[in-house]
Amino acid sequence: MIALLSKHADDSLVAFGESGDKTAADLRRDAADIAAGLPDATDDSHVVLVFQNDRYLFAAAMLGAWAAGHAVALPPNTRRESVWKVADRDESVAILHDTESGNPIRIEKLIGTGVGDANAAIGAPPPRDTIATVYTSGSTGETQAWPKSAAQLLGEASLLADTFRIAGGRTAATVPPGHIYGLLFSVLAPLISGGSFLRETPFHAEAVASAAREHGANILVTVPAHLRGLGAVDSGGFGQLDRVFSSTAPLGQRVASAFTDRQEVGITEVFGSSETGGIAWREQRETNRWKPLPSVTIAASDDGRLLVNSPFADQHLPLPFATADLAEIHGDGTFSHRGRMDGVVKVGGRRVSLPAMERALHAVEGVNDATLLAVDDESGRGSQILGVVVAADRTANQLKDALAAEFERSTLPRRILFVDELPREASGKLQRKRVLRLFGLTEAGKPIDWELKWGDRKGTETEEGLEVQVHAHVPETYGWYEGHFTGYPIMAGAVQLHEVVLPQVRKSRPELGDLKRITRLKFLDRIKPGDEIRLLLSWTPGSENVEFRIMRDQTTCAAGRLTFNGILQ
Amino acid sequence: MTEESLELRIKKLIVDALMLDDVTPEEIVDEDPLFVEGLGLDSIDALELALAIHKEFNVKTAADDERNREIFHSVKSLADFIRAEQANG
Repeated sequence: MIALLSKHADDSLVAFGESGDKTAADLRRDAADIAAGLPDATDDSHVVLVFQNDRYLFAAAMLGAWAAGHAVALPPNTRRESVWKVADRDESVAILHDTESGNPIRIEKLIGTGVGDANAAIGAPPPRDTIATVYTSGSTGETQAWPKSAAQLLGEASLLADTFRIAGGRTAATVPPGHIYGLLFSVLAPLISGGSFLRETPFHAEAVASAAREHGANILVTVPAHLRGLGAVDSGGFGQLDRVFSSTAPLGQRVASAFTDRQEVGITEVFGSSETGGIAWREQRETNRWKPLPSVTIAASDDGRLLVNSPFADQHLPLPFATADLAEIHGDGTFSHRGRMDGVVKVGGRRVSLPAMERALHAVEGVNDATLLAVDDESGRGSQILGVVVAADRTANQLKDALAAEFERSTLPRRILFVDELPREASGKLQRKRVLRLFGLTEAGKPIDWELKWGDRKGTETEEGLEVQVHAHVPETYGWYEGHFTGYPIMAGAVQLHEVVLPQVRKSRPELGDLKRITRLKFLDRIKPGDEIRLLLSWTPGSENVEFRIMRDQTTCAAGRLTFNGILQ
Repeated sequence: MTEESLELRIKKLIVDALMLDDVTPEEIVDEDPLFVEGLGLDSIDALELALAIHKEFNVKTAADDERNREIFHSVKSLADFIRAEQANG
């Protein structure tokens, strides 16, 4: 049986920070005092833990509850409604907290009483099936319970400490201890492996950096949304970090490299789910593929789902568990993530079911039609949700207020557009591409570029007259490609004339009148997104004609002669 | 830089950085709390905004979060902070 504190000597550090250092002996004594102050344990008794400020007090409360024979219950967040939902359950016998809200048991009252049994076995999990119940807020806002056994919870923490060689380390975390990720990485793994943790949970980038630096933390436990801000911290601002963990949402490449380039430390991403616990990990600097954690085995089902077999999976699940994640398994045992199959997206680390939110939106009075879609968000939120709604007399705020009754506010659509009609096909099927376009986004969710990137412009005199040569870059997300053949983008002839040729003709020869006709027009080769092209214009001074040629290297893509209506005086 | 324009710049930054389509800069009241009540922004918005402020005004968040809570309380407190930081060079 794995126990906490078994690798700590009495005077080994378990916690450090602004609020002071604490040793294993302190933790044992405080936990024993807490245990003595708690009601007697019953078969299924849980002590609810709500900690906003001090990770050490959280650990003391958890160990105290365990020593008294209780399991602990961890609400999905520290908001009043969430806490009461968990506290109202029959099995909840006490709430321990360090918040400002008075009753029921504020933890400081229990500590330092000296009533604890000095011989109490602090650190061993209670002999019961469930030692902790972790609550998550599900896709429609209801809380879901995940009971964890000692083998699951402590087994996983111990495996993580071994796999990532963080034994004895000093951990700082930007995530709360009551969330499963924070619990495993910032409380359990340190307490199992002889390490210690920062008591405070700093939030803003400079506060995180200064806490890590001042207190000599070498491990940072954080999430993509926080890493984005941490990327702005000066090189070396964190002191000496050996490992940085990121979990709960996919980490964007840009966010990752902004951080790693400055801090010269890799980011270890951990992929897991409430159902299965930790599944796999990777370091983006090395690979995009996920490597399963030791003792976790993976496979893909016929329909491409990731199948997970793990000793840390929920006890009530049939194994292997079929996740809602699509995966491609590689020969070397790693896998690539290919998205999710059920319309569930992660916004700011929370799972949201788009179909469920869409149903809720349709149910709002005055809404005639509505659709939601998710696009990748570089800010580290994971995805962000966009909404398009047909509703007279409704404002975006009214709709958000209505949705907030069912969904976490932070997951609500970031942008809501009102339109007269949704872009549906005759069959009623929604055209995702046109919906995205309403937001100025391409199918891949990238901002549409409507302008070519013009480069050098050079005029020369030739034997026949004048020639102008202009370089241009065709953006990958050039908007004028939209609406053409999927997978084979073609820049229409009219676009080439109106977006590439004519603006440059007008610039070179502002004196020309309206375009009269185009002759000798040839489209010889496709202009692809990302191409570097060159436009050549030539004319005889005083003439109403301009010859044009669009080139890519030595290839002519298009050519022709434009004739204009006279010359304006 | 006049006092008015700094507040307005901050408001525009808030609307831009957080993509608040349904709020105009002029609607934001200087003294209103930005988070929880007021505009109802969440904690990730707070970090987004901190990053945008850092880029736009080249000032950094404080090293302690208690102070950051005061700084990011409202447009007015943000403006006071930026002015003070810029004055310190």
